[in-house]
Amino acid sequence: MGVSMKTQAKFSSDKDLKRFNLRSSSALNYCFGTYTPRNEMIEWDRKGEQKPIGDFMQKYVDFGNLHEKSGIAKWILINKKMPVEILEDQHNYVLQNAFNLKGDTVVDLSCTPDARYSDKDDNLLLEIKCGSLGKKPHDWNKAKVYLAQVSIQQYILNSLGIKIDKTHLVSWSFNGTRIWEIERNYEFEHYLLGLLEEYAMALINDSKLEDKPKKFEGEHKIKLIYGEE
Amino acid sequence: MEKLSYKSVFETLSKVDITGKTEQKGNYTYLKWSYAWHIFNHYYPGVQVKWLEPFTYDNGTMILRCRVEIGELYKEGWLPVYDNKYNAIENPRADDIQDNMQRCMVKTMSLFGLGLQLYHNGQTKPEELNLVGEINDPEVKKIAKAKDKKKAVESALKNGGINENTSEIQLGQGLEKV
Repeated sequence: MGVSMKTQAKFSSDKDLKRFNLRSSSALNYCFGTYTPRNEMIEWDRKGEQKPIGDFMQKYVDFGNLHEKSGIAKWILINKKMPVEILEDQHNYVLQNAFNLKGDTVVDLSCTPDARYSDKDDNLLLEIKCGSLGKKPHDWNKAKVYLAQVSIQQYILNSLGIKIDKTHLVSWSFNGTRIWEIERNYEFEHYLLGLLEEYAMALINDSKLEDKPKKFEGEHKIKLIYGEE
Repeated sequence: MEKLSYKSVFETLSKVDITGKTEQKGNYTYLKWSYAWHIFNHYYPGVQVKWLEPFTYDNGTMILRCRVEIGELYKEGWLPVYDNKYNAIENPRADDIQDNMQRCMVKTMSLFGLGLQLYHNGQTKPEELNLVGEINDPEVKKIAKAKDKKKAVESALKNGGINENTSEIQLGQGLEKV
């Protein structure tokens, strides 16, 4: 959310080098075509543009941007800890040439976590979501769509040498908050990276993708650590 | 007896917690009309609802209008005859009109403050609006003014200046850079 939602898919032509940037916040579309079909998403990326957000969705995005700080504040008050890289200090992490493609094209993977916290016991990321315009927190059925984003964020930071073991996915609302602790899942990362590589290859080869890829059959380690089911 | 004012009525009714007194229709949450009537009568037994001439349109849709009166105080409200997806109904039936008369009455009552927060964001707890965007918690004010937010928050957590009862909305504002 926040900065990562505002960043554009990048395409730049630097002499003979073409560069694409796949963002973790759009991982759902790259991998599964959840909100924008994969083959439509790829067209936008090839043009170096981002699909415009309709007025209906824009108000949800604006609300999320406005209250990201409330979600972070809630996490601080519950956990009695202060994270870093929040709000204006968010970091954009870029894993360059993530798929080791040869030739004149580079595909990067990037993410902008909402916050990061480390101490002797924990190395975690925060991902804040403010659903339903603040009416109520997400239930897991809705929140699970963020697993791909969360998992790719964990992969990128670990690949860059920043140890991350888990993410706290915070669903904030005026009427309550839920926090899920999502442990790093290598099997799921491997599955997503396969789909992202497939997307990257299609992006550079002008080929088509399957709109509904094979489902992940493994298990996740997720627990609700704050709020009621 | 103290003379009623719009201010005193609003201050009373906007503080009523309507949790458990609502119902969900489609994507929207409403205060049940019977609870609204009950609450109004509890505080202002002289309350009256008067129905004004509805507006009707060539395409068969219509807008209902009513006036809620407490003594000399009154508010007028209106509402199209909607279905549950907020589409105006053409040539509505009597039961459509009755459903929307109840919604119209409750909406007009909200202009006095009762359940107004439902129309902001669907919440049922009374809402303290920070209309000027000010932080009024002294501990959060210190954080808001601090250049080193991390240090200020950690100090406030340590000394109990901020805790689970602190408003996260205010603290969130305080976390933003000076």
